[in-house]
Amino acid sequence: MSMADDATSAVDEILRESGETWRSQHAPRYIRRRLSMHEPAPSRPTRGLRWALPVGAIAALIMVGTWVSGPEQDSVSPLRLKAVSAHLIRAPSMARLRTPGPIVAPTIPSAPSKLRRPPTPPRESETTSSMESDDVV
Amino acid sequence: MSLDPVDDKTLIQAYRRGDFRAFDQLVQRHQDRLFRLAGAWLVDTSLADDATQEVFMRAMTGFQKFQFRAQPFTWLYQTLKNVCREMNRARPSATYEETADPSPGPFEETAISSDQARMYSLIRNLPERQREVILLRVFEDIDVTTTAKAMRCRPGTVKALLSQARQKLKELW
Repeated sequence: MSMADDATSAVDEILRESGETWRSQHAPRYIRRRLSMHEPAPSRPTRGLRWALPVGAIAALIMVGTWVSGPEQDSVSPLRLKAVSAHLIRAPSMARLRTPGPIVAPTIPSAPSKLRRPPTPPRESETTSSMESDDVV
Repeated sequence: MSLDPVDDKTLIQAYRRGDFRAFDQLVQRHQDRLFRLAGAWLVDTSLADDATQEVFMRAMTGFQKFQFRAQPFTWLYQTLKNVCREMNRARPSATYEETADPSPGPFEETAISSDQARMYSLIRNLPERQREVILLRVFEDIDVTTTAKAMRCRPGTVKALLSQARQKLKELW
């Protein structure tokens, strides 16, 4: 047997022994315990529960929305305002149809507006004339 | 030792049906091998623990949609390589391709003789593909076909790489 063959057999023998020692190393057991913490839930919700969840969520959203917008009597919706004003506009004309009498122009009540101007003071000439008449009496 | 893909397949199918004990068996079957290979690449036992755990964490979701076009071990092995690369990238002092690290690795410390410690050191300094083939074929005793699939090469390439690695070790010894 040559020197090269001796070296080959020695290396092969050490490789084989090293492999055996290598395979004797084991992973720590706590890897499995760590993984069990991420174990998925074994049971799934039934069909009834599956749709009950979104329905419940929608109901909760509606309740929260109602609570945020406040009680209904405290606020008047634009739709309701429109209905009331339409009724007020129609009322005088209906009365005119039922009871004959002088034709009165329907009054259209208007909501107070911030843009409305304050009443203009009377002109100076009108004021003096009325005072003069009062004094005369 | 050859890996049994049929059993792995059965376990994965059982795991998909919600049987987590099947996943537990997969972990027990592969964790030692993955841990040893991670230790060889990361040169750090605690990092090898983390890498092994990370592979199985990814397997929890990966096996849910596994197509069985590859063997489960091949998938786990490729995932382990990716995890080790990511971990080595996060450490600026070491890389997956590093071959000239003079410090002893975790398995050199557990060598039962000075000859074994020297052999581990020589293997660690082999070129990456030659080291990989020694670890899979000689140390893990995985058959040529599975080794070729794990290394994404042909069986002939595995044989050639193994021959080159042996020759290199004899020269260095």
